[in-house]
Amino acid sequence: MEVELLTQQEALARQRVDVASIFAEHHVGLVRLALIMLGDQASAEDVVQEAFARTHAGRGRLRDPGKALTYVRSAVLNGCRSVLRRRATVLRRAVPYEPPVWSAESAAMLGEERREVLLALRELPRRQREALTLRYYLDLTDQEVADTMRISAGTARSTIARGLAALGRALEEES
Amino acid sequence: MNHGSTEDRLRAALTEAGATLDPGTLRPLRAPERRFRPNYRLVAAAVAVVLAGTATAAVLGGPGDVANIVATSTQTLPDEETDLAVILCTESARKDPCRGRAASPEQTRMIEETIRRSSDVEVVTFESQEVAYGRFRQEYAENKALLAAVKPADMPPSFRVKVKEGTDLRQTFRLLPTLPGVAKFSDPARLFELPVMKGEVQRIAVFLCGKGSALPACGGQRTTERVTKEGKAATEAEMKAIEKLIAKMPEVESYVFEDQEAAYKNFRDSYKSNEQLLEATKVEDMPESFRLTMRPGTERVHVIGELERQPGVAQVLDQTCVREQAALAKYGLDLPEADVCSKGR
Repeated sequence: MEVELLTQQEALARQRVDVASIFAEHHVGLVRLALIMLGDQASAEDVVQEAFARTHAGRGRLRDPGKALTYVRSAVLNGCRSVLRRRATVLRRAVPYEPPVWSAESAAMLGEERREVLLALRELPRRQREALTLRYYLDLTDQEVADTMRISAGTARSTIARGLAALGRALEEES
Repeated sequence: MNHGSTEDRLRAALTEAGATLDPGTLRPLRAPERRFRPNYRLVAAAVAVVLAGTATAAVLGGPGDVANIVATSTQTLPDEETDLAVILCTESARKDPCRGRAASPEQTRMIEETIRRSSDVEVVTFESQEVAYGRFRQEYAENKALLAAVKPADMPPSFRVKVKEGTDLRQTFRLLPTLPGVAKFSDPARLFELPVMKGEVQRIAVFLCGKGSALPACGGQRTTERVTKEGKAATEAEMKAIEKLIAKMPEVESYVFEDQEAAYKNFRDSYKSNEQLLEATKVEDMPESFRLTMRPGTERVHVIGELERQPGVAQVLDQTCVREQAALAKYGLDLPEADVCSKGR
């Protein structure tokens, strides 16, 4: 009994380290993900910082340490959604909400072809855009995309398929 | 074009976009102390209040999001021609979305580019901090308190845009709010036309609680989304008591009672051009009010304070104060409310 208790505590302690270290380890990647979603580095860093702080505060509630990375990504994704929603509030009802435009710094560095793709991605509905980013930027599986977005694997799969088709059509029209 | 190549193009674009981030420039993660999240007040809501002040909309429980873009002004493009002012972030803009970060030159360029991309745009001018502040000083030369509250560095620069007639601003500029460096929007042309900006500033409006009011003064509660608790309408006895109080105030030159029908008519006259707002508003949404005309030069603070404390009073609006708020909205200034309209609160 006592032994069991000890191991539980130990597991808990390890878990705490996990969340923090996951952030440290994946900091750059998480900010990059947020940058793709938001278009500017400063906001991206804020989102990751806030997600970090919140995850850390709620570390005791993390049930499955194996899912920590998913949890963290999910938190970042949520933070991005909030930022976009807040930005969109300014001109409310303007279309659901628009994904970010590239910050000028990034835009200057990206070639025309890349920008075209990103602009087309930006025009997609939120779910499709998120799902495509998780799949093609992070190379997540359907299940991982689903967990991160908190939707079912089936929905993730069909969202990706539809998003890709829509993106293909949009790019075809452009060219 | 087949799927395979769409996938490849997407993968390459995302990878490259992610790679534009230089890890060396990352601020390190801060250890999680308790951070206070800023209180994100909807710009739209703030604007609705400004608009509302002119008549009644603030007291309406309902359409907070109906009239959501409001206003600023300039030197190259006069207020009455500025359909949209895109106000940029300054270090003084602490709140979201700026968080104290001024718009960088690159962001500014991107914003301008995005504005100019639309074929509905006729004129775009840039108003610098200095120019905006100069204009502000000129306009409020006699208002020492207001001038003292605003430092040159607080004044945001803006792009001032004139569009073709009939342009849907929200649709045309739907991407603008998503751009980093954009603080908020205003529409000086519409603000310029608000009835409150023209004369009649000696007025105070005392709004009575209506049925189902969400205002705390009436016992209601609301979140930004919906009314969580409905307040009670002013009773006959409360109305009589309020009227009696007003009648014996020496500062009040005269007063009239405005019932729902009359309020609705005035409201329609004031917002003739705002179809959306009119559509969303019904007679029974209109609050009843006493309209006071004050003797020139009399003390208002005390009058407002006393009226606000009366049971059955939803809100007391001093039009001088509303006018000041509207002016601040015009310049895109983000001052704590207390600096401007604290009288009587």
